[in-house]
Amino acid sequence: MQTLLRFLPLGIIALIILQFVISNEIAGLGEKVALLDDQTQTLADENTLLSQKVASASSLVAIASRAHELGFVESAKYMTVGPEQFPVAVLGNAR
Amino acid sequence: MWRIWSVFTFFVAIYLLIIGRLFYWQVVVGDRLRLEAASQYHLEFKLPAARGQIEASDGHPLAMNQPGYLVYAQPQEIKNKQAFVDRIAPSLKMEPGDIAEIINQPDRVWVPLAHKADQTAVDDLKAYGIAGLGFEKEPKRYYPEASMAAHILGFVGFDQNGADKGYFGLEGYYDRELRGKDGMLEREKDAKGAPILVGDARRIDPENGRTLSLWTDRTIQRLVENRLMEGIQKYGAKEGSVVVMDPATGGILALAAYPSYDPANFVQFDKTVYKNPVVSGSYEPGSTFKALVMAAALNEKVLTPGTTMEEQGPVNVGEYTIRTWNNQYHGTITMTQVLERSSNIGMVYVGRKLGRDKLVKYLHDFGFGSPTRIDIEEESSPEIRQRSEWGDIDLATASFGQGIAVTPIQMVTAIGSLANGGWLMEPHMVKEIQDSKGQSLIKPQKVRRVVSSEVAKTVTEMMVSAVDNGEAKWAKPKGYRIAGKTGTAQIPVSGHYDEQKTIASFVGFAPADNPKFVMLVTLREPASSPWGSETAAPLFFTIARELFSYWGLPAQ
Repeated sequence: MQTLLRFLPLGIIALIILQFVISNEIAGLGEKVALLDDQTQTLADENTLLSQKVASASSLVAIASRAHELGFVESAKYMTVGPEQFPVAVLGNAR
Repeated sequence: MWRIWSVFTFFVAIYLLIIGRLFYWQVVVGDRLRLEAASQYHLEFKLPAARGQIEASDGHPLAMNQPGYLVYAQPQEIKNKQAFVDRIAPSLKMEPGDIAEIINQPDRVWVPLAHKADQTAVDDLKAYGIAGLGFEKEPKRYYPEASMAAHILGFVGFDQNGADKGYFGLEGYYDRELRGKDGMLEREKDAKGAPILVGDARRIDPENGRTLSLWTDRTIQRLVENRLMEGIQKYGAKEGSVVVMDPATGGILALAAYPSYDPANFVQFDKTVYKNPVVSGSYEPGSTFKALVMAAALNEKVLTPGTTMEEQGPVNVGEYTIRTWNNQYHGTITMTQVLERSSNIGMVYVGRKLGRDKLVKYLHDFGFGSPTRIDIEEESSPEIRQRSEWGDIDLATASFGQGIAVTPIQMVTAIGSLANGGWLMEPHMVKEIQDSKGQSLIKPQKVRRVVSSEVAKTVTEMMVSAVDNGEAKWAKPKGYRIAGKTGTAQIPVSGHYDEQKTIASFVGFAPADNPKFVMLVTLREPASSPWGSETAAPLFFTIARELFSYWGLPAQ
């Protein structure tokens, strides 16, 4: 117990010195943190911009316009095939 | 002795002077000095919350955010004002005179020039490195599908304090959910402005706005908007609307109205088009209403589909004479034929059988006279007159849908109850709300049972018969069982009905045995023909045909 009490002040002094050293180290990192914050924000902005581009490219307006350019046209007439009219597929015999 | 007193007085005076000075610094100007000091070592800024997205049923955004900027000027730092104006005007697409007027205002140290400027414009301006010009982030809305679903979405403008605020549609109704809550960061900074990590810091994270997932299917929405536009042009109508609902859930699959606007450039449009006519515009439903009155009479067991009545000629109600739409009379007809031939005389008979009290009760039960509680901001509901105010002529005309005003959403919801086994559903735009903590589903809400499931089935068959044998049978897609009813209502103008102006409509659902959708089409003042059977009905069937194809529903 006495030994412990003898070393306690030394321990306190060591911790104080350690705090000074660490605080000193961290205090200088503010600029780096600011830089990282900026980079995070830039990436978030870029992400928003890319999401916007993806949404724009996959919009029906864009797809319809591209389809039109490629020569697709809306079918004016179409017919439907009911299950009873397609026995092979219904029976699962299609190869 | 006097010297001792003099020294004493001197020290007291010095002491008082110091006390006085300290009082001045700490009490009189203490607050100001504390603020000045804080501004030198404190960094405090807002962490803005991102506005939530609005997504279609497939998760594709209909409204989302994109980078935008507030462009501002600090006039006292501008070296050459004319060069400044000439340089920035083209990028901001502003008149040079307007910019000059803004920056020449006396005693201004900071003036906003443009809100929500595009990224490209800001990139251009940043490249010039112009002194006295600054930028601040101010995200803005982006609509990937352009002006599609404008009446559903609404738009984002500014409130009195210049902050974003949603108006109309979902942006208005769900503004609080969409806008989120801004956060805040407060920490100490060094001489270069970099944060001091060992200093005091306080951070409140922003809560981003919630994302709304809709029932709306963007493919159906696009299809409906395109066909409505074609219909408006083909039939020369002034206005029109289409609403498609899932009768089992009340989910709105598509909602379109013309004239419309572009939510990204809403200021360029007349303010009258901002309101969604499907939820806020009232009209007289005309013959489409007959299906509901018939359902009420069947539910009260005062008649059956086979009950006959005599359609011998016009009927007099007080001083008024009621005729059929084409002034033709068919003698003895059944109730099913009353709907097939859209007989006003037959419906007067049904109305009388039902009685005034029961009719008024069923009007309320079908949801008329009160808002449907759809989640769109500007919903309104025309009032239904008090029971005591109903005269014989009111009972007679209401039985065939005249003299009573409803909104399209009320009408489609009421007909939806017949497609849903007699249960009236609350219509809804939003299916799910998502935030950082998870998702919350909005469960379909049953309002009440209006008619029994047997009656709903019976009326469905009568409506199928009305489509197959009615005036609009020529336009019906072959091989499908569609329950529907045409409507042609004259428009009341200055206390009387205008003979030339009509609202043509068609309401129905399909497939009749297991309805996937209930749809209402209205066209205001069609020029090609005033009749619903020649305008709204073919438009309904055109859209229905494409819905069958989209859902893979084969003809029988």
